[in-house]
Amino acid sequence: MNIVGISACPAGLAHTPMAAKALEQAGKELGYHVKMEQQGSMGPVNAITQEEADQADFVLIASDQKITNMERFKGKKVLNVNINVCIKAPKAVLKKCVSVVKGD
Amino acid sequence: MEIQANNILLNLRVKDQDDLLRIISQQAVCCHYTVSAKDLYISFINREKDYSTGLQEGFAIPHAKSEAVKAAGIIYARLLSPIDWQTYDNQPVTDVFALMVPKEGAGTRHLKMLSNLATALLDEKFKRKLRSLKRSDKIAHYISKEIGVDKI
Repeated sequence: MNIVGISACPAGLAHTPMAAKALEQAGKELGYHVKMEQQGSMGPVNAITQEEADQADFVLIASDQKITNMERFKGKKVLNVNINVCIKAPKAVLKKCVSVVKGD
Repeated sequence: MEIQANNILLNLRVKDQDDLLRIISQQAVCCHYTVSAKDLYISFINREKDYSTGLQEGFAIPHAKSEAVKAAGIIYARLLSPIDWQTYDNQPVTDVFALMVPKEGAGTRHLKMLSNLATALLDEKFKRKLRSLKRSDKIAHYISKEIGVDKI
């Protein structure tokens, strides 16, 4: 599984990098390739390229904020998850998203 | 941004979240992060209303990004007894990192340090080591070392 995503939170200080790191770590443990772009107070960190977007199986948006540059993901399946759930239970989030995408 | 002994509040006795955020805001005046404890306190409370900054295992990270903040900083408070806070694991809070940044022009280096601190709180080893330290100068040194910008 090749997953790309974006995290963003109100101040863009703490929850944005926490969610990104939690999901990437969980991905490693589950054997998925996960790359999270952080749209926080530093601007885009770990930005997802068009090529990476094209190769992804799906897109995970860990945010209830306005996300910029979504046109990269045109035609891709996009799943929205609460950012706090991503920090609290990143493995469960990934498993659930994968099963939704696979249509299990 | 430096973290020194006066950024660390140990054995703090507070009655609730409100009381704690007021004390942290006062301390932020001493650390020259703000000139108005009241405005800073309001910024913390307003952010908390978006959604709680409680994490798990007794940690919380209230933060203020506002005009009340003049310079980026961190204050760590370790409480004598736990206080109620909405957290992921529904446990009360004993360890609080207050993060403060100006509304504009915080500087990438400072933002990176705050980001490093937030992600360090996902790391069991960091939390365990932090809690094992009892002296404010040692704690300040340990936090500085762990979140320094050279360490990505």
